[in-house]
Amino acid sequence: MTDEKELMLSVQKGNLDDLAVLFENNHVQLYHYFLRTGNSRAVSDDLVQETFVKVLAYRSSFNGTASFRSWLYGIARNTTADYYRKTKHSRQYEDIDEHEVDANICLTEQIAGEQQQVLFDKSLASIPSDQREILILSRYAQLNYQEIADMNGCNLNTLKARMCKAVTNLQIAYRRLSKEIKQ
Amino acid sequence: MKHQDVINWKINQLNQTCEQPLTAEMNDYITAHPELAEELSLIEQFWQTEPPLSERPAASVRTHFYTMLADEKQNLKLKQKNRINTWFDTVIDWFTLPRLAQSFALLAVFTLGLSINDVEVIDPQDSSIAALQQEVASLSSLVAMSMLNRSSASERLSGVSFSLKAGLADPNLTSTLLALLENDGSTAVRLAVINAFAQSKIESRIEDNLISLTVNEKNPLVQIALCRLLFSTGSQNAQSTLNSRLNTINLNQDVSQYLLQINAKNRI
Repeated sequence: MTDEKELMLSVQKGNLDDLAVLFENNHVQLYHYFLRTGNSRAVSDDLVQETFVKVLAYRSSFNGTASFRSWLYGIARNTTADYYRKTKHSRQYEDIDEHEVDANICLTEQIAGEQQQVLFDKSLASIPSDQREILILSRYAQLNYQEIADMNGCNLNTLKARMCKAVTNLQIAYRRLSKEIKQ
Repeated sequence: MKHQDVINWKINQLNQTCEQPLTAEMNDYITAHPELAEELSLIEQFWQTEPPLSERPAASVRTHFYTMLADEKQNLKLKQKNRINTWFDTVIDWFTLPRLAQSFALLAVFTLGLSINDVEVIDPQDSSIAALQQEVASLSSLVAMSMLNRSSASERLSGVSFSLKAGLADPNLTSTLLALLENDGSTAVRLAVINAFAQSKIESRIEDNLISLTVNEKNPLVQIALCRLLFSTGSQNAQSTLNSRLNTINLNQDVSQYLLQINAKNRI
């Protein structure tokens, strides 16, 4: 598979069809990133669209020093900030009623994948947003620690410590939610 | 050894950025800290639980992207055509490589014309030349088909472009292109195949395949491109067959709108 960095550099040279490959490889994960950082499905769709509009418009600014993905998610974060600045909305998670966890489902190995995802989503929603974001960038965008650290403007050791806290808080939230369902 | 060292190792392992196995020291540390073992188990579940299939972006996101891409390609072409030349640019233009090449070519033709009677003209009917040309065409088709079977979409796109240069006379090549049009996972590749067919004459044996593909197509962008291809370059028979078959199925709103515009244009 051709390296994404090379594809983006090819787009810069005018081979716009290569952007289609980058879009197909990344738009679903990008959607998950927006969804799990607290945006509704409709807003996440808009943000994916807007991010790729900017990728195309600002393609000359990609200098190849960072990976394509870290550049893409940098644009994604700025797009989100712009969106909320323009619309003056605040983020809210999708209606929790739509994702009501079925209390009758036993929380052992038999829990269905979707119910598990809902529990994780709720747990993610309850931890601080900066910790939530680094978990999401690592899990869904599959950025490495250095890339996430660069994006957050912190050093690697600081990021590792934050990740550790994020996991601990996620565990606490998950345990609490699991107990609530059992009761 | 700290908690964060073990957690970081686990995450790197799940993201496949670390090949280091669990060390004895780490194992002992985890055993001594049961809460850490729980956290590692949670991380593993979190990483391995796939989001439900229902959580996908809306189809309009893809449509919007490809429309934007097509518009930008068009804009680039227009910018190149409408470049405004100042008189200085015009003068400089005469000294650019293409212009110089044109001048030399003219000179060469003039010189050749003067001495044409002394030159033995190569008979275009020469069978050895024809055989060589056929071999080159056959090799080009083989190269094109090899590129069209690559796993990377961008390589397949290059293959479509190469197929056009190789010419679409080879039935094996057109069959491969039709298969890509029907099954390729990349919309860009499928649109490129349609574009390739648009630039060469569609043979009647291919028209039936294209009509079936158009009627059964689920992607509105590809369906519109197929309709455009058949209504602009297809035979009268193909166009009326397509029209009657499209009238029997439920069409996406964008496709219906496009067909209304086509029919309105035809009535003018």
